[in-house]
Amino acid sequence: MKLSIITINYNNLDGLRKTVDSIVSQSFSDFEWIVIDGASTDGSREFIEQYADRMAYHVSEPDKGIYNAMNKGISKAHGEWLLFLNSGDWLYSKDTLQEVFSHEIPSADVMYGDKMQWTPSSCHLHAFPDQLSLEFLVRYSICHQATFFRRELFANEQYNEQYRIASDWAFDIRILLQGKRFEHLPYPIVYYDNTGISAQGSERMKKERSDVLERYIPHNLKYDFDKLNRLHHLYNGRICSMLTRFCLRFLERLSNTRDRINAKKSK
Amino acid sequence: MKLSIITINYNNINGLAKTIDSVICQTNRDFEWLVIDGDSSDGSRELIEAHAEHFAYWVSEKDSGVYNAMNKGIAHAKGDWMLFLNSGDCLCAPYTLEKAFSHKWTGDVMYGNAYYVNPDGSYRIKRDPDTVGISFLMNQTFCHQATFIKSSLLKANNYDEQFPIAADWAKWFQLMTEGKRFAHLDEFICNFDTSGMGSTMTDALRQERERVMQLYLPYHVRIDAEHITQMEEKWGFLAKRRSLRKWPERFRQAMLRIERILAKHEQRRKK
Repeated sequence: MKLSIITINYNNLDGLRKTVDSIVSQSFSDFEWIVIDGASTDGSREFIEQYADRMAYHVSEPDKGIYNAMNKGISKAHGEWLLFLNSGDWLYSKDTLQEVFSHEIPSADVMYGDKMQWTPSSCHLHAFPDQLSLEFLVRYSICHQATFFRRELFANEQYNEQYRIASDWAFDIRILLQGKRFEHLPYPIVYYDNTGISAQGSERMKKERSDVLERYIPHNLKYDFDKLNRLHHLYNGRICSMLTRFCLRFLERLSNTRDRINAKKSK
Repeated sequence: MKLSIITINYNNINGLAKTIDSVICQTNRDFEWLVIDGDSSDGSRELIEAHAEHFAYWVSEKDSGVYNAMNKGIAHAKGDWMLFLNSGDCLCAPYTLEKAFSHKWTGDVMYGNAYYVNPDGSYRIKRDPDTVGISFLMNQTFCHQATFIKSSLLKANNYDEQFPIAADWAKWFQLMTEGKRFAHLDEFICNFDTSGMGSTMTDALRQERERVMQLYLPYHVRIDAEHITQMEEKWGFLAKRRSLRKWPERFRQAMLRIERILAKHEQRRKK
């Protein structure tokens, strides 16, 4: 089995419909599908039952949070790769999986693709760099729903259930520091629902992020980030912005004087 | 006990005599001293026997390399910290350890300053920045002989003997990615003898360093470090020169001043 898709859901029937539609219509067939529902009460459960014959495993019971549900899904998965496609996110097209696994990168432990950022009012492509660096991961992070993980990575590690939002990010950082390879798939994989829980920059998110940084980033690497920041900011950013600001002011003044001269002439 | 000094020696009796002189005259005696000799044939053994009362442990037997000898020393050391002072290198002054102990040791690895002494007597100063990261390690390294390491770290993970020259460098990478703290001990610790092994960049060493990075440096952290190195080559001249470091700020001040003058002119015109 090439791939296990793990979908978790909690009281999000509309989102689940979109996700299910996109998975069912895939032209790629060498995957299994696992659905973990957190005992939803909005009819998701019945909806899942309808598609039960397509799923390798499905369960609907109370859980302790998103990452608890994901860990449950991982323990049931048998595929070589894992994809976490939560309810509300759907695959870019019906050939997406086909495309990914016909050009699979053998050296990669993790393959991350681009995402289409979706809100009810707008939709645009959000691409990631070809060469991932730790600094990028720490500052911006990659899209968890567009990322394929090798299942061996989860053999002795799990998502940390202590966090509610930042665990996937913490996991990325942890395996990156173990020396695993991340490779880029330079095309969109999913439509990412930008109204979900981790998309909103809440106070809790900030706190969890700083907590993860404190815990998982090696102490002396922070000096590297500082250095990079300084180099970027001080020498590139500030000088350029100052120059542009100066030019703008100069132009403004010129136009002012011209206005004044015109005013005098008209008098 | 605070410190274990580990000295390894192989056929370098003159250097060993210098080292012994510099250690036995230390004013602070809160250390033990271990000597590992690689079965030298130039009389080093007799010299060690003559000074045997100073050593907590000594041995003279064949070993398979510098880091093999050091690992032997690590196994017998009992101090909280370790310092590897090879034969030929000596502590700067009799009060060196006393001064070093008087500082607060905040990190897991404390790197000190060193004098790099050439055989003809000339020397240069090796003083590392206060904050170091991977980007520093990529291009340079600490002076191993001036670096105090917590012995629990070394006992858990010995030096990797597959790297005959750069095992210390591999160790720094390993400890840093594990999240151990490296802190600066701003004190001159040792006179480092540059005629020894590993002080000149040869092709063999370069290859070894490449292998070390592949094994001990996570791939994507390396991309970061290389990026920083590039940026420093581009913009580093601004940070290095003290007069240029303030340049962006001065530029801003100058513009503000011009602005003020122009504003005054305008006011006058209005009047």
